[in-house]
Amino acid sequence: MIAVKGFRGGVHPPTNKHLTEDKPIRKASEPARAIVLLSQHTGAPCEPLVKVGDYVKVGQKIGDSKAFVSASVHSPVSGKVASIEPWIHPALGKKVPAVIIDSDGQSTLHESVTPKGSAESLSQEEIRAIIRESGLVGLGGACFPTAVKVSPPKGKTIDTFLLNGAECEPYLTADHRIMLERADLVVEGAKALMRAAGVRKGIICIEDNKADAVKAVERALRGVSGLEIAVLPTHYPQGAEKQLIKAVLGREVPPPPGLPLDVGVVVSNVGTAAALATTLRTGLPLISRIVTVTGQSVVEPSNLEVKIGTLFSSVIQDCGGLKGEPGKLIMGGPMMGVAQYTMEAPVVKGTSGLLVMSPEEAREEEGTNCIRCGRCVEACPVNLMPLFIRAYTEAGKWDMVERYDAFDCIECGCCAYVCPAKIPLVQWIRLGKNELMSRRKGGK
Amino acid sequence: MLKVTSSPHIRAQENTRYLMRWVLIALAPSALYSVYLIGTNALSVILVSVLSCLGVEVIWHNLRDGKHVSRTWWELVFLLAIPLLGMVPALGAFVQWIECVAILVVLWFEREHRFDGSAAVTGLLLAMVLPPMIPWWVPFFGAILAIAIGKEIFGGLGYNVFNPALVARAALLISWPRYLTAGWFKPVVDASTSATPLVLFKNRLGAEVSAVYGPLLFSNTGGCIGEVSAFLLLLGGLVLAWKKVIHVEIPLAYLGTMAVFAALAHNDPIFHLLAGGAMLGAWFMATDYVTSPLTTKGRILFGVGCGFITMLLRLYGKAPEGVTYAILFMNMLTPLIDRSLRPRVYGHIAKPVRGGK
Amino acid sequence: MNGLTGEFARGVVRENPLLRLMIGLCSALAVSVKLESSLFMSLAVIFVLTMSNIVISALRRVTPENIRIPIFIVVVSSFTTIVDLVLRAYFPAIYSRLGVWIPLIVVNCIILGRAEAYAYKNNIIRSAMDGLGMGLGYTLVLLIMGFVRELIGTGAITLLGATLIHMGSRFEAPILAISFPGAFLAFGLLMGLLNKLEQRQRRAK
Repeated sequence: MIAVKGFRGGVHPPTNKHLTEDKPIRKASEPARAIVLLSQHTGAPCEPLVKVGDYVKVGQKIGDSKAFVSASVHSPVSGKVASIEPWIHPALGKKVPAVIIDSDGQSTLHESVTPKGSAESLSQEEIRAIIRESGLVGLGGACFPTAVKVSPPKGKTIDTFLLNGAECEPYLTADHRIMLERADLVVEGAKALMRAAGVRKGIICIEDNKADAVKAVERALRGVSGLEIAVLPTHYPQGAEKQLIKAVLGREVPPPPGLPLDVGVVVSNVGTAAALATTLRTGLPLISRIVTVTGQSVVEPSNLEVKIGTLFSSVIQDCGGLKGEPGKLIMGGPMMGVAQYTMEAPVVKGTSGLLVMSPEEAREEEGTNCIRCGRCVEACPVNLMPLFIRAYTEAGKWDMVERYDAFDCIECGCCAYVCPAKIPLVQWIRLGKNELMSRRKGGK
Repeated sequence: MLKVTSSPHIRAQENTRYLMRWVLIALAPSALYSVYLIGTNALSVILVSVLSCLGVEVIWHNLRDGKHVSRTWWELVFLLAIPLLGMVPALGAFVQWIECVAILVVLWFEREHRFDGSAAVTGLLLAMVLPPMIPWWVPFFGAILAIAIGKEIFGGLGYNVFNPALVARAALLISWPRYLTAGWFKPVVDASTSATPLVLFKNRLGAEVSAVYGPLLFSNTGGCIGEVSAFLLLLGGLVLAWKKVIHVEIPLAYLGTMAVFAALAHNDPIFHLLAGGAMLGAWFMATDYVTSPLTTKGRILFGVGCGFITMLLRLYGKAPEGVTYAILFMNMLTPLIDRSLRPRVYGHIAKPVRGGK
Repeated sequence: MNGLTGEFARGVVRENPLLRLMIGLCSALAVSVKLESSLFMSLAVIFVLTMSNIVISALRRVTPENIRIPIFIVVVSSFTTIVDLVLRAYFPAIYSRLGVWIPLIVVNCIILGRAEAYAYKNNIIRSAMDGLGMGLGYTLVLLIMGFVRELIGTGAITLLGATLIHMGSRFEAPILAISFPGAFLAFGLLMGLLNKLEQRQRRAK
């Protein structure tokens, strides 16, 4: 067991994981129509490889890009391409091009879907190529292409691989269930990722509110060398890359555009590892993921294995629908998730959860002026002073917004969570960042 | 209809009103005990002070926001006219109660106004730093000074530079010094002593008062309403620290610095911690969110500064007590402390100098 | 003549030397403790300001640029000395109360400021109007502050030995009003009030 160092700041919101933590993963029903967005990741969007009317099979690549920082997309169903048109992106809130496929219900596998081998039998280059081809991205929510992550530029050496099983977001239990039910896949995927990145030492980081998952992973690790478990005290936002590195290794990633690579670390989500192991074993690219569907308003909160491209409305229908009128639909967890204005957005690679809040839970409390209590300063895991960033944003003093390091904000939501004056601090900081960005683009 | 807001979508329970309520709860034992010991005089000072603060806030906010303007002007005239009743000989002794009832009536009319609780805290704190035998209109004007000049004129809650209660006390001290430096509560045990322990100390009677921890802790000593029992104040402060309402660094640094200073100056440190407004100042005045620094380092510096200036004034100043001016002085430095003692941002190598890169 | 009345009116509110340009504050804060001293100080300032504006404007074509400040000071100090001697001769009581502030008119920012910014660049009549207007603006603020501070701080208004207003013996005057913090407080409130009124006027348009 590894001694953890912890990190400064953070909060302890009620986790509410009891709703779904005991619910085994079950397969969601097949979508009759899959909406595959061509931009599901951080980086360059994909170009469609199919035309309207084409017949596609499960696992067939339907979108790719020549850019280095990108990830291809694949068809989750077999059937005809009905159209290629813009569709709502649940994280961006605007429409992006999507390939819409009408399923024929046959689920015919594409010829490319064949077992690839195991972590031991494949070389570093082979694994990297498989990752690139399978369209794997970080499944924790950030959706950074995994192929890029495991291919460090020349001159940077990586000494430690962190497998992120912290799942610090309240409500979400997808990673928890994956570690519990598919520990062997997690370990297999971790080994493959380490091989791809050329790292010898790996640490699987799990928060102490998932004791059963720790046991399951420990069991799967028997006889495996180079991988260890670190049990971390429950502490939001421990699952954020930078905070995890600080908590486990005591290292600090340089400010943006600094990456974990700069301190010799690669961090990957347990779900990503499990997905890679699945690809190695079956050959299926990333066409489904585990989604926690939860909240007081959901009739039957569950952990579902959902095909990418399934509409939120159909996923919720799979969980028995809603109790009464919903107040808020959030993709992701309550701290960093994105509120949706429609249920007709599709599941993307980064959809870790769907949280439905009742109108009562979604009610905003009326706030007061900032009373300078300093709680946001205390709670900020990056040591910013959110109240000043907000004040300067409100006053339009953009140089001061930058001087108070608004760009270092990871938007974890701790400041706004603790604020007794109920000021939407994260929103203000985002506004300040956006304004600064547009000024940079326009000004220089 | 789906509601769309920026993340986070959950908020902690605590709000501004909750924090203010806890400050009031923590002050309640001291206030009630002083009413028990001193009687109606203390009650009238506390009631007038708290109610006036609430009244001024309502009237100011209404006029500022242009709500019920004409009604509010009438309320203002009404409340300001009542002290004139004091001219009538038969009513002279009851004016304060009439004023209290009048304010309650006004507050009833304005019952939809949303109080954040800060005015009540200011009012109670102001009452705690006034002598109990003071004419009732002194806390009345003090409340106007505290809320109007001390707080609202800067932009209201969160924008004031100085602690409003202490601004009012300082202004009252300049305005009517003879009321503010006399009229102390007379201890029950030794009815002949009406001076405060710190006044006795100032007059070089230190030897006599040094061994009176008991009275200092549990009443029976001359002083302001809030100074009857250092023990209850300490208890209230510890409750606030336990509920994480206040940051414990400030009182610890404040009192610690005082004790060290006193010891180095060959004074009795415990006497200095228990006498006068040290406990009230350290636990309730210096910890005011708005006027104290935001970072741990800053708060320690703030507390040390307060303690140092307090002892400097007590030992070498003209007046016997220095808590008010020590805290007001450090309040002034708070923006400077906040700017210079910023926490090191995650991943940044060196601390940025003066807010720059 | 519209231009000339404009010159005159400008100094009263829009560019009031105390509340807007914020110059010559120290003497204003100090002498506004009593209505009487405010009145005499104002008269002294109006006199010196107008006369020195006229003279400096008249001399502006023959004043070398490089040594204009010493010349301004010579002019201003001449008129200040006149005021000084007149007050000392005929109003010794007031003179002793105003004390050092009368000689200090020489370095009062309003007078040097107007000389430099206005009289040196404009004709005699305009400069005289400017001096009168600025002086009147100064007077207005000083009288208001002096009246309020004396009335509140002492409970009575006395002018040349005669008590004009008395608040009665029951009135317990707060010393704050006639102390230095009171001066800053009164000045700040007055400035805030003016800004508020102007804001309202602008919104009404």
